[in-house]
Amino acid sequence: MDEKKNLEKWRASRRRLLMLMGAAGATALTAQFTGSLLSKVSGASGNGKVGTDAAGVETASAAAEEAPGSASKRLRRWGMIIDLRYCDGCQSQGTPPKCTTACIEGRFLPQPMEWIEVYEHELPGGGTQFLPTICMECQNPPCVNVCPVGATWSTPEGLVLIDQRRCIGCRMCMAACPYERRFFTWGEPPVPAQSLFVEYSPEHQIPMRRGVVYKCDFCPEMARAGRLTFCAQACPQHAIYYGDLEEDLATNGQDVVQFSRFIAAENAYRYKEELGTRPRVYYIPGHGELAGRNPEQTGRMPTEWNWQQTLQGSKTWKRSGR
Amino acid sequence: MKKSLLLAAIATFLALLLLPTGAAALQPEPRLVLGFQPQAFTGERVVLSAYLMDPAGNPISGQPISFSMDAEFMNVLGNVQIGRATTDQTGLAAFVYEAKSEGSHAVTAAFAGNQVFAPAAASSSLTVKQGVPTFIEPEPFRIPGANISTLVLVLGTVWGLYLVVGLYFWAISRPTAQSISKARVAQ
Amino acid sequence: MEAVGPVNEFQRVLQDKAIAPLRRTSKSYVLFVTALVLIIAWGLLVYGLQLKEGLVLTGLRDRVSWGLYITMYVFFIGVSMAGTFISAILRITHAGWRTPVTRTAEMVTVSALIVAGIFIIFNSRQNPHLTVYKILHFARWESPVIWDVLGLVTYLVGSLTYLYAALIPDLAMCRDTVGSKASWLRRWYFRAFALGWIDAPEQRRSLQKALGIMMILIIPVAVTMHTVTSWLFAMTLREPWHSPMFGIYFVAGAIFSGVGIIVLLIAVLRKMCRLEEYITKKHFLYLGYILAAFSGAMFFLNVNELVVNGYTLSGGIEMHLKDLLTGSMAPLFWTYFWGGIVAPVVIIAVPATRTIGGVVAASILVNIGMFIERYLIVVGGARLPLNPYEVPSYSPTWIELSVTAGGIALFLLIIAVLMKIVPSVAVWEMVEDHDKESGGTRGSLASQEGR
Repeated sequence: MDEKKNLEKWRASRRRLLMLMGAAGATALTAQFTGSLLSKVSGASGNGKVGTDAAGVETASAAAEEAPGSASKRLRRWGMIIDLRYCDGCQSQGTPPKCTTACIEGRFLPQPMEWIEVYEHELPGGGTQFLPTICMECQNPPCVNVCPVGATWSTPEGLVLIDQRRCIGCRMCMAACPYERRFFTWGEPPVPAQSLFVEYSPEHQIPMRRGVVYKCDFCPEMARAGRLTFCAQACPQHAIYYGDLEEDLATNGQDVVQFSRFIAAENAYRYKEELGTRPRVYYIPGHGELAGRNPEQTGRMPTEWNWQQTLQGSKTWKRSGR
Repeated sequence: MKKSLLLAAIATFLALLLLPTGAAALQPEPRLVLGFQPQAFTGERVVLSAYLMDPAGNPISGQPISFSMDAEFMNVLGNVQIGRATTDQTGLAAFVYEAKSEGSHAVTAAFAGNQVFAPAAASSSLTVKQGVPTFIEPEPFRIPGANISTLVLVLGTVWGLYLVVGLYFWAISRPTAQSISKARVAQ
Repeated sequence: MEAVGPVNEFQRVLQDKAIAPLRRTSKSYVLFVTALVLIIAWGLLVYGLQLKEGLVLTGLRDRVSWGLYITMYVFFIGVSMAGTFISAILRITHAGWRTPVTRTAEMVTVSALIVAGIFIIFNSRQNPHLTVYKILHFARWESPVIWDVLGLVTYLVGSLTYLYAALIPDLAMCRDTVGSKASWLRRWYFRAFALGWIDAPEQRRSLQKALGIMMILIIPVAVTMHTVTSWLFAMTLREPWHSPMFGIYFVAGAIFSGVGIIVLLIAVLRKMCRLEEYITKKHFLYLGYILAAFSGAMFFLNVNELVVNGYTLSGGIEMHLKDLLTGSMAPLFWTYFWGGIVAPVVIIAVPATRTIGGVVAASILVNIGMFIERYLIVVGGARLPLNPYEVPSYSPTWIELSVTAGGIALFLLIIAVLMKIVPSVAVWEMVEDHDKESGGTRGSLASQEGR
């Protein structure tokens, strides 16, 4: 009898020990999870505007790169104006759109990524217009809001950057972007030799890796060097303006305009404004008339990825289908 | 006869020569005086005052004056149009410019001219120093802490109840001695 | 510590039948499990290939970046609703007929949740452990994906707890009847997990309290979990997805497909374990009625969505509706509508087809229909162009199909394994029920306390 009692006691205590171990393990896991959640209480302001741990370094360096003369209080607030009265899809040039080509060549984009993509929209009155569509760097960005690991965030200057090291490739942001300006490296992207000399940073997103999301970032390293983005530099009609809403100036490489006055005077609008994303890209309505284009002239040359030909045997993927 | 013809030709020639200047002389050049505070901080509203007067000093009213500023952005130098105003009875065209661009800028007021008057321009320098940020964008509507507090509340309740159930399991594993003995007797 | 043995014939026969699978393994079972393991191994191999070469091996591309994996994820989350509904809601309403099916329902839930979690991890680009680490370490609580993860874990733990709570007396029964010839492992397992259950009054009280808490708690947890899954889609700005109706749509669809799977499983269980006298036509009919009721709910929700969107044709939905009703997606949609929603109601309404076979056929149709519906939601929504370009195409590759097959096999394998380690019917509840009905001698808690 006693022996049985002892056996029962031992078994009960062993049971207790097992349950305790299980509880401890579960608590440790939960603690880490909730710990990282709760740490965001002190860190984040809850609207996705502040960067996360790894990104904190990036945002600090981004702040340090402001134009000389403005100290910590005045930040750049980057924005773009695209004057559609001058954009004719480079029909007059007889080439694929030069903004797209410059971005592809300058950022070594693998086919079929087109961070600036010139779409042809039908006008209600007949004819078409060309709309160079870039990442809108929204101030209420759906992509930032849905990212589960904070791999994409909004900088104080208004840019939306991606840390490809943190991205888990769930593509929730791609589903959320209403402008479809996020691209995924489905296979191994071809990497040019130049990329390998560069240390990776979310601000220039190279060297590229497989299985993460990429998008237009308003070329922050060009801005730091006091130069315009690749697309703005390349446009033969100077239709793309790069500007700062804080200093209220914008330039297309030739003229300098007052940002707020320019967009107000020319009735600028934002693409899909009604979705509430607050984009930073303003479009001045037109169809390339000031470049001599007739709205009935449809079609543009298809985009090319010429730099990839220098990499032998580089094979990528398509935008859709196999 | 030849002398008179030559004289007539010279006179015509001279008259033709003088005609444009004469015509020009018919268009008086107005005076445009531009005045504003020489220094400002960003965010400060600077009143640019331009007086348009005819050579006699009488004000010219109802004329549009355009204001522009030399600025450099991203290594591109340009003349930025910053606004326009119309002269009132006293010949004053006042335009309020919110200083945003730091540095020293040449602000120019220009009168394009009309049928009566010739064009005119005036320019002065404005030095802008760093002040307050000028671009204020309201944040998207957020209720601070709503997200985390809802999560903590809901998850805390549910997992707390799971813990309670776990405690019941633990209680089941420890029946009273009375029940144990009863069970033993019962079989 | 021995508990009271079976006191009546009903209990003895039932116990024998319920424990039989735990004692003996039939040849067909071994064959079945071997086949499942082979399919899972193949799926894992193919997944390894996908990890090595990248998601380029799938049919997913920039335009349609969510496809078969997400469809299977949503489908299995939907299937997992079943356990809750049958067990908890029917327990709360004291529906006695539920007792033979509750255990299967709960096993289905647990298995479906595990497989759903695996599918969503397989959808991401990198090694699962890295994905899980990053999600745990860097989670942002503003993200619907994180809400989904929290919901899945919470619901899984809740389901396991609920399954376990209702299992304790049955494990005690197994412990008592296992005999000394069984292996040490089996005896240890039953003894450890039975928690020393001797049917003591205070133990009964604790169990009733635990079950009471869980049955009420698991319902809002399940509903929340399914709503949060729908928010993965509803929180985007894509036209067919961005609808406040998605929450209720997913919940109703989940109950619908879950009940369908349960009908199939208890039909198989009935044949395999020879439980014909316990799982009767009545159970199938009642489940069939639930199926028909939720068919009506799905019909209502679908009509709402189509009519409200189709009346005004605003916001770019016109192209989607045209495609869905008369275009490339039309064959799938009408199969789902007539086969998955209307046909089950007809089968159950018509007395001639209101048989066990009829209900099983209806549930097969329901499952096919709901899978199509998930596919239409995920892929149909993803392919709607947001910029002026041609409608993109998507078709799953053999990689995705292999991994999907592996996932389905895993779902069946987990249930098969569970059926070997726990009794597949809730014996103690059925005995209680039977005793209540026949005014039994042994009876319930009351008569015991009188001793």
